[in-house]
Amino acid sequence: MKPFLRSLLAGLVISSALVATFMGIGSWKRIQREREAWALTPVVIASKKIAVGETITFELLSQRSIPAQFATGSMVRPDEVSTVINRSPTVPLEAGDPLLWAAFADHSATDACFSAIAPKVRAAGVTARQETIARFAKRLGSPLPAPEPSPVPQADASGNISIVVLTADVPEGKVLEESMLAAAAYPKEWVTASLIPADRLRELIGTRTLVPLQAKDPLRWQMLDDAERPRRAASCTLEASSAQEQARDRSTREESAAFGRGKEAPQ
Amino acid sequence: MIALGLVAGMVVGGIGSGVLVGAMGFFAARSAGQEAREGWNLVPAVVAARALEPGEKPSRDAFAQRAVPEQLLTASVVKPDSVAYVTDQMITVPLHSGDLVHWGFFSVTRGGLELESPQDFKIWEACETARAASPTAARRERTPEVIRTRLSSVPAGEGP
Repeated sequence: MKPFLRSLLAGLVISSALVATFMGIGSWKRIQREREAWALTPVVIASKKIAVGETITFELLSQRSIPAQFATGSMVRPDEVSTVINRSPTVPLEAGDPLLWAAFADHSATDACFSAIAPKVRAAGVTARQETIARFAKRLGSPLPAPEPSPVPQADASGNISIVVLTADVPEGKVLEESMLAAAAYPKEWVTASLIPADRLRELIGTRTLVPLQAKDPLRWQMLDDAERPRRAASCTLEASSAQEQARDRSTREESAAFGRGKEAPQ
Repeated sequence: MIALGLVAGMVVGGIGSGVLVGAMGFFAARSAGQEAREGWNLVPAVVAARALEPGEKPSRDAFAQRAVPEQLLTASVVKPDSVAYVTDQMITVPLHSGDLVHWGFFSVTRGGLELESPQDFKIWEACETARAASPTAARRERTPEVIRTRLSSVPAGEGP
C-alpha cells in the first residue's frame, strides 16, 4: 500500500474515533437529560375540593406521579405530608391540584389589619359621600333641578340645522375650550331640543362634560354642566363618588399605617 | 505526502463521522424523548416566569406559557387566554419560577374576611404594604421554603 493511502486511512480512523466518542457522549447526556426530565416523581395532590379554612386530613389527599420537570420545589412531597395534616389552606384547592406550600401562606397579620380597619375605612367613605350630597342639595335647594328645555332651531334652505360638535376626544369632567368645539350641519330630522344650536357655541366655553365624549360627537345640554356651580344630578354623583374615594384612600393610608405601628389612627 | 494524507483523512473522517454520529444521536434523543412523554397529553397553562413574592403586582413578563400534563390543569389554574386578568394584580403567596399560577393566589376571600366591594381590596393591599414596611410586624413569608420551615417547626394547632 502506498504511504499516502496508509496515512489517509490512519487519519480517517483517528478522527472518526475522536469525533464519534465526543458526539456519542454528548448525545448520551442529552438522552439522559430527556429521560430524567420525564422520570416520574411523586407529589401530594388534593383528592377532593378543599375550601379555605377546611382542616386537611389524609382522606382529602392522595399521591400522583408526575414528570420531574413539572415537580417544582413548591410542591409538597409524600414524605412531607404529615407537615400539612390538621392544617387549613389559605387558598382554595380543586380536586387534582398539587398541594403547594404556598397554599399555607400565613396571612393572619394582614387579615387582622383588614378586619380592624375595613369598617372604619368604609364608614369614612360613606360619611364623605353623604356630606357631599348634603352640601350639593343645600347649595341648590331640594329636589335637584332638571335641565331646562331648549327650542329646536329653524332649518336652513337645504333642510339642515347647524349644531355644535366636538373636534377632539374629551374625557369626563373636562372643561371645554373653544378649540374643542365646532359647528356641523345635521339634517333637521335628526335634531332634537337636546342638541345645541351652533349660534350658542360660545356659551359652552368653560362648561364641564359629565360623560366621556369622542371627536365629532354632537353635544347635548344634558352632557354639560356649569364648571363653577354644578347643578345636575350627574355632577352631584361624580362629586360624591370622588369625595368617597378620596376619603377612603386617606382613611386607608392613615389606618393601615397606624395599625402597622400598633396604634389607632387619630380620628 | 504522508502528512497530506493524514490531514486529508482526518478531515474526511471527522466530517463523515460527525454527520453520521450527529444524526444518530439526534434521532436517538428524539426517540427517547417521545418514548418518555408517551401517555402525557400536554396542554398550555400559565406559570411564573420568575420567583414571585407576596405583595408583588407582577407585570405580564412575570408570567410565561408552558405546556403541562393535562392532569395538572384543574379549574384552579390560570389558562393563557386569561393571563390579562391576573396581570398587575397583587399576588398573596410566594411562588417559584415554573410554578403553575392559580386564581386563588390573587384572592383574599377567606373565612371572616369578606370584601364588600372591589375597592375593599385596596385596604388589604395597604395592610400588606404596611406589614412589609413595619419592623415590628410578623415577617412576610417570601419563599415557599419559609412556609415549609414554619410548618415543620410549629405543630398544627399552635400557629397559623
